[in-house]
Amino acid sequence: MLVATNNPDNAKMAPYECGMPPASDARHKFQISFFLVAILFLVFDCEILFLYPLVVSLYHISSFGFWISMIFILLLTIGFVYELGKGALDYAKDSSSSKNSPKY
Amino acid sequence: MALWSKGDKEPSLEDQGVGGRVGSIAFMTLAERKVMASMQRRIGPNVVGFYGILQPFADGLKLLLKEAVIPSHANKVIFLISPFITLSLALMGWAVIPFAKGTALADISLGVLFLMAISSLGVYGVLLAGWSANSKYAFLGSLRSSAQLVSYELPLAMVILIIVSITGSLSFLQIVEFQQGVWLIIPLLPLSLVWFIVILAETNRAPFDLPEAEQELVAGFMVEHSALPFAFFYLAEYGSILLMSTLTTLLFLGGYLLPFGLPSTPLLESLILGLKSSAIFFFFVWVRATLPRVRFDQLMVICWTTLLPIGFAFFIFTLSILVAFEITPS
Repeated sequence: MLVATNNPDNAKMAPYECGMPPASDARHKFQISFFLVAILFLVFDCEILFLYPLVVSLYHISSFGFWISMIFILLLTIGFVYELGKGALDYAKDSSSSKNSPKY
Repeated sequence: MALWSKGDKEPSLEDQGVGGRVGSIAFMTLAERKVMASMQRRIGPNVVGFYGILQPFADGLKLLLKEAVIPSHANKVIFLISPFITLSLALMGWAVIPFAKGTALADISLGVLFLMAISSLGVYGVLLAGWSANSKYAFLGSLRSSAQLVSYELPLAMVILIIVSITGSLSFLQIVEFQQGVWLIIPLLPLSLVWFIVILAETNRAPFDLPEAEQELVAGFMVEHSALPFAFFYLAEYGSILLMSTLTTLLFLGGYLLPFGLPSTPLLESLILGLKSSAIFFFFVWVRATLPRVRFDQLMVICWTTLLPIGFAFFIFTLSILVAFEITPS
């Protein structure tokens, strides 16, 4: 980068948009599904991280710990089924139901 | 590499590690182009050096000498720092990988957790690069890419969780030593299929290379990066592929162990690990040359409604077997 040439001009420095001059700022609205995915990820990642201490100590907590973990997984599964039922991951439906929402 | 020439002292283990990784990543790009060429009945790069063997160095030198264009609307500091973040995170995971018996840069007892933490952080480089470029393609590419990365993180963590529950250890060395009797790909074959799908998506490879869908997003989150920053992204991408190949070898293919418990030497063990990882890398290229790209909503549906429930079901199944037959690892 130190030995490379460097002679910028306005057209070169403009945001790339396939040759068109950029119409608006790039930081515009985006589809809510991306946000939902992030929130769902938080819940499930925490869940999996809670399971790690469980599996390495499974020998010591034996079947009692096993059943407790089954209850834990059951509760989260109910939440997961609810999310799927609400269509939180339904990208196609979201973009067709509201025409003005930005596409992904 | 450049790291080896500082002073006249012997290169330390860390330096050799980093230099070796960058060198092997460079040759992986050549290997991919050669293999793809053979699969498509072309010749591939064959001009630079013997049979094109110096092509990656020519490419690297070319990228080094190109002009680095920084868009006027970009947040310049974040724009320039994000490739460095991505590459250093891609190389950092190698610290806990054992290359032979007792030969890891850092044999920490929580190696698995360390690797997962590092691979989770990888999404920051993508997100910062796409946001700071202030271009619509980069923005959409980084949105897609981060959604894909965080989603496939879950099945990835789930598969590792099941392996940890069987081996009872968070250290890679012990996970490999556990496979003395049988490689885990045999008892866990369905799970290894899930794993193969997940690592393809986690490294943004075809058929899940949505962030770089050329027809719609040009090059995704790195569309504004050129010259050296681009080279860093490129290296990081192949670095993470190499890391994932090695991880597959460690978790499913017995790591550095020879088949049938044959005795070996440290050098032979390292060679075996490299051979197995190269085979997995060949699988990556093979899939890329064979399958068409999936759509984005299909990608998310595969992850959330297929791979994740399969992972949970297999986890409960494994745990039940372990508890029912009282064979939990102590």
